[in-house]
Amino acid sequence: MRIVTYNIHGWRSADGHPNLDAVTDVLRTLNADLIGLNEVFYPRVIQGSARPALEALAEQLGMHFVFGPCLRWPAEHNMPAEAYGNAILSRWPIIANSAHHLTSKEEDPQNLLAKKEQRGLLEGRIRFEDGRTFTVYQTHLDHTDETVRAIQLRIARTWLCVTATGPISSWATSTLSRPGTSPTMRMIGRRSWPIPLVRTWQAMRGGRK
Amino acid sequence: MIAQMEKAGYVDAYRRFAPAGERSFLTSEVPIRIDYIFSSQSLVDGFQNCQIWPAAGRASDHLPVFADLTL
Repeated sequence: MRIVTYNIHGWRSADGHPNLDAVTDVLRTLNADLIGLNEVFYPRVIQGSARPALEALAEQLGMHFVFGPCLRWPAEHNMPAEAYGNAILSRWPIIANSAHHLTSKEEDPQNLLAKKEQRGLLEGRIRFEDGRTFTVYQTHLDHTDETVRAIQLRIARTWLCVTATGPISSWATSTLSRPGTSPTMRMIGRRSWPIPLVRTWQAMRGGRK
Repeated sequence: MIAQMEKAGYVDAYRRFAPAGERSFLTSEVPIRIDYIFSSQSLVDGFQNCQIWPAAGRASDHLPVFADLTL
């Protein structure tokens, strides 16, 4: 099984150009089975596709996907609703998923996170053909402050501890920090269901040929 | 941060196969690896490799990190 983590820079190349085609080429070449993405706008439509870029990417790769919003913008001023966050793509069906905001009164008594961009942890449970399951997490921690990252990681670990015990195999994929500019956001989905804390969006697609 | 993850029982897959000093974030002045794949201890022996993939070029301001794992 090949696992990839990739921060896609909000659908922009390092030089600021739309990068859906380039990201698709990179991931197709890597031929991954599980992919964790950071800095995903959804359902943003960008150059290279008439549909939301994340859906186009998943379709091109023949993979299932889930999206976990960290930030959301309601529809207003004739602009569609959007969100920004993490995504997981999988060759196998994603049978359960949840997205957790990395906020906690207990772990952040000084309320340091309130001054920072909200981050999240996306969890996906994969089911292989033989019935075994596998749990994967994707997160993207603050890029500016080690103290804040430590708080976010403690919060993330509370979810890892709850869900990663027992016979379920698990791993965490993380972008722990990102120096430089902070991104903005976007999103919406085709199929959705409410899950405690945050909603996630999931689209089930045919298995990879 | 890495120490905190390791203390919690997770393993930085990349460090099992490659030396320090590689770059996963392109626009920093100094080489810095800020993209990670962490694994539960129970899976560690199944990793065959973990690499940063520079052939991705400037498709993003980060490079992908991949690992091959046998369960």
